[in-house]
Amino acid sequence: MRKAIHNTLILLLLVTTTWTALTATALAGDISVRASLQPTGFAVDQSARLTITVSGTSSAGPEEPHGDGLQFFSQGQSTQMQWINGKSSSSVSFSYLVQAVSPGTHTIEPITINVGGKTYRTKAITCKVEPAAATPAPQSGRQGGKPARPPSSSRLRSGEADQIGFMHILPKMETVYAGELLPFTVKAYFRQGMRVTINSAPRLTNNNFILESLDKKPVQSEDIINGTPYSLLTWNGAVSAVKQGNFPLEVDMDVSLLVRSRRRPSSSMFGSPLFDDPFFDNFFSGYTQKDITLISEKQTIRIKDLPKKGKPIEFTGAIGSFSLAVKAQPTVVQAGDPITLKMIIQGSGNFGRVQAPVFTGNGNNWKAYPPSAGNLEQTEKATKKEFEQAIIPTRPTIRQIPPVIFAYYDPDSEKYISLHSDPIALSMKEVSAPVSKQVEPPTVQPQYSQQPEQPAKNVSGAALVPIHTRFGKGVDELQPLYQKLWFQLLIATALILLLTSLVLLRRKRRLAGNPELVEKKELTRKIETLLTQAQEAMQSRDSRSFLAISRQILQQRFGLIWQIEPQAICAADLERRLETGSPLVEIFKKTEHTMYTGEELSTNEMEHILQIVREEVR
Amino acid sequence: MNPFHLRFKPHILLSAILLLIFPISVAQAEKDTFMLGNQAYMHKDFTAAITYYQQTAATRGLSASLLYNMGNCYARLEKTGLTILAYEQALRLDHGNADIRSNLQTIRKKNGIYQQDKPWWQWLFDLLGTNQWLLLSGCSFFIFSCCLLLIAVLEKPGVGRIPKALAICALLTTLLTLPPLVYGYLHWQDAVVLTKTRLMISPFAEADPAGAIKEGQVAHPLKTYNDYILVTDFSGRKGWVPGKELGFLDDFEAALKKPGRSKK
Repeated sequence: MRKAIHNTLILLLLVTTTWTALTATALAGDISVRASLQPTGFAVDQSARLTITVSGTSSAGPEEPHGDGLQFFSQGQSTQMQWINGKSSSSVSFSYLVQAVSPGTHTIEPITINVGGKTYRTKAITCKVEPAAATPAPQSGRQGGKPARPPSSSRLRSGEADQIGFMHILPKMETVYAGELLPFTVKAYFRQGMRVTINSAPRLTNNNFILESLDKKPVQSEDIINGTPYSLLTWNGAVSAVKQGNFPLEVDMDVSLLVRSRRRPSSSMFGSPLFDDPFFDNFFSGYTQKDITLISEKQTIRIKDLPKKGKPIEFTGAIGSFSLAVKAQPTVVQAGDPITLKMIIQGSGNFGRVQAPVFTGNGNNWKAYPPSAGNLEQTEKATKKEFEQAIIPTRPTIRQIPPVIFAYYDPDSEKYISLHSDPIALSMKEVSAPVSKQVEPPTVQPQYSQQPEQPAKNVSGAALVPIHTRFGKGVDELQPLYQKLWFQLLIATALILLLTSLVLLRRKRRLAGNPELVEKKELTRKIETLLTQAQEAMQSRDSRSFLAISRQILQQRFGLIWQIEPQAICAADLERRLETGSPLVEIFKKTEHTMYTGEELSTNEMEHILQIVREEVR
Repeated sequence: MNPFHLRFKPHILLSAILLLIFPISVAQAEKDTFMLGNQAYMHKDFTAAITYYQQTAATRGLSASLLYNMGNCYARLEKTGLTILAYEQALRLDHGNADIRSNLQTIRKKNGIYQQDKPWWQWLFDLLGTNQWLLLSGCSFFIFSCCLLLIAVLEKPGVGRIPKALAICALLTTLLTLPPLVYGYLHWQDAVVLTKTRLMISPFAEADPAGAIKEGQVAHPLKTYNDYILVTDFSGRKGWVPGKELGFLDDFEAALKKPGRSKK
């Protein structure tokens, strides 16, 4: 029974502890970012250390620091995780060496850090840079201030910490050139049986060197020194020196020790033997954590400046031993077509300072675009850096691609070496159409395509709709429509039509309001028609028709004037109403007579009659 | 068979083919600068893209897409005044283009360039561009005149109903389109401020300021004196501004970023 209760309690405790740990881990997620500069005032020939600390996480992605007149050199990062009293916390720090280009007040702009998809920003930091030698030279060749150390940690130098362990730094060389890669090995020894937590990777203690590379994970092994077994951690890395002089190379590392402390016996207040179980010694106050900083011994390195004599124009800072390979694609082109040059630098040295070789084609024959940033590829066998550059031949007479030049300094032979690639033969195709001087920019990035861009963000983050790929309809000027000729003609035509229709409508209305006028007009039209018919009858010598028509004309005419039915008018009416001796009476009588007798008239007579009738009606 | 016909027919055919091909080749070469500009833009070489677009404008004239792409380039280069000028000019050519409106709104919002709330009638006026209103008005007027002529010519009273109805509709359309087009043409020569500058109380360099006017804001010019132009902004503030700091919406030269002109 007792054993059952015992086991149940143990199980319960385990579950509770695990649950507390998980909850604490989840809750301990408050992120804070902080940037600090030590010191905030330094000379232009000295440097300072910028530390960006992100608390609440063990991984973060800071952007490169920026500041006018300041240069930043990464010195690596360190991660710390702690679990104390059931609460876990972690933080990651990024260190940079800061140097100023000129004296004055400079500002390090707020640094953006991405943590878990969220963005955090530090505050801007202002630093004051004095002219060279304005500030007292720091001791032991150190530049700038020492990075801050946790006040509670102990700094144990090798040889002083025999109880715990020690650390060595083993540079491969004692003399290097400024900028040259100096490989080194760091070995940290810990007495076996000690419970040690590594809180940071080895880091440089001064700003005379820049950490170029360091193994992410150390190699673990064991060693026996003076009969004492040690656990050994080994890192390999490389540094490069900043400037000429003799400087110490030294690293330190933060570690935590779990020191076991003896638990006090219980007061036996409750008299329970449960809590006297030795099992609980391991959970309750069994260990205390002690933070220490292990530091290696100093190794003095002599830094030399590169010789100025013989430095080629194309030298951009590469130091080591390199080879150059160049490929071009395509090699069958026509003038104006882009060619991609692939340049591979392979070997050993400070690839961080290796820049693209220089293309020697002249501006008259070639258009060259800036090369790509360089793709570094490191394998166990070799390290290489690949650059791509787009070039365009502008003349069809070009037969080969000129060489590229890569210059570097070989520390072994102690001289500058310029590598020239061989010219590459080109086959130029015939061009039928005139070649435009404005040639097509080539696609340097393999993933570049003709498709419109994705709506990328501009500097401030606003998304723009992509560009249009079609030109569309072109116009010569941004002029208003009323200035265009066709529109003016359209309006002019419309105005003419409007005026015409207004005139017609007015006439129509006037006619509609005056029936006498309508009648008169109608009669006038009718008489004109009859006169034309009379003329035709006269010409065809048809006396009968001529006279009949002439009679009708007179009847219509006098019918309107006398307001009587035209058909009812006869010669007697004319005789009565017209003045005596009017020729119209004779004509009317003659028409009646001829209709009955069938007498033919001569042409002259018909002409005379027609003339009289015309004069009458007009 | 006529030997002349046999001997020269292929040559004539070949010449015809060449005459057809040549304009195509020329057009192809001209087309390149616009494509080159697009590719330079994709390559993030915005300055080169603008150069290519300006060359395209010199040879092929302006188009809404060309001005829009230039606006995008200026936006990337953070030149707000030129960006808004290009977009506004593009809208003159393609009033309803959603892309242009979207980017214009984005840039204005990003730079804090806010315009006064539009009254309801201005929303109606913005349905079409100024030239579109004028085209609608002109066509309606032409239709009205034709219908009126038809009514005047027709003699039978019953037949004229359809032309009468059409004439009334056309007349109404003509009259209703007059206000937006008048408003549009009154603002046809509006300008965009190309650099952050001050409004001055007098047209002299030493004059006191009357306020600041943001880069990218649209200003309505009122009158000119020497190199200065009296403008009023959307909030009604008036002041004198150097002519070279304004880009006029109807100015082709402004689209090519040549020195500004004084108001005509």
